[in-house]
Amino acid sequence: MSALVLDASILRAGPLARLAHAGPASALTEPSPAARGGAALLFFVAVALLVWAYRRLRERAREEEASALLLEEFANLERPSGALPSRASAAPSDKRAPGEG
Amino acid sequence: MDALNHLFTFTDHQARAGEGSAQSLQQGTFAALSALAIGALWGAAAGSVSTGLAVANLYKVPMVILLSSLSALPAGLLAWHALSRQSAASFLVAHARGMLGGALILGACAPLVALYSHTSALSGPVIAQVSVIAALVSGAATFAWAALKGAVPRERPRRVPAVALCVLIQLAAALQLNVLAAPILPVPTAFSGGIDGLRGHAEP
Repeated sequence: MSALVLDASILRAGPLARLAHAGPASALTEPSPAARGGAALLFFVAVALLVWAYRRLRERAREEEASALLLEEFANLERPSGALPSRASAAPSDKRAPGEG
Repeated sequence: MDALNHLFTFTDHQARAGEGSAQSLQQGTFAALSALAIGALWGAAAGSVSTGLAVANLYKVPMVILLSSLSALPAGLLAWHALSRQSAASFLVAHARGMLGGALILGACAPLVALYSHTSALSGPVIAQVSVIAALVSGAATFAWAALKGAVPRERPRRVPAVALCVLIQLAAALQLNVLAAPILPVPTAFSGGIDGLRGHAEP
């Protein structure tokens, strides 16, 4: 039984295991200060990019909303309130797209 | 108050813009930024026994959330595009919803975590870890729900692997980023050592 245990310990500490684990376990799980600093730097850059993207998207969303409102106003101009849509009550033809009506 | 209302309606899928529109992406970015802010709040609560730890956690916890997301998104997007042929924007917005869904759980648990970390050396870290696990489950469920919601039933099985892959990679990345950010809690836990720590705990 003790021989089996010894064999297992030899396998664990064999050349392959040494290749896979270049140092003690505590050294493996302890990241270097450069890795920590790099991660922090990457994080702050990513946050800055996220904030920048948010501001750009907010501007674009406002533009989209404004153009949608403009289109809606044009549609309302073409159809006066309270009147049924008909050829007689329609808006002047110069507001229409070419080829329409 | 408006911002808070906007957050809840966003996670609740009530006020949604068209998929891929600037407004939808803007809401997704806002959700991601809000998730980071809530994560910072939880970090401050979890490390509140020491001023230095609480201040450091203001960036450490959001760092784990954001960098794990950035690690998982490329593979998730690739799988999403290959399997479902949907726009990348819908995947990104669904992921941002998942981040926010998880972070809201963290935010809700933050007062309890702060209270227990000040009053119980034994239960404080346990409560903190339970809140993280609940947040991970909630985030993954919200992400999956948001990604599968718009799909027709025939399309859903194609989307599931992309979501599962993204969640798995994010969990694996978050585990190791936890090592880079350690210590987050005042006492070392099974997750402080990353995958090596977990294997050490699993082995007799």
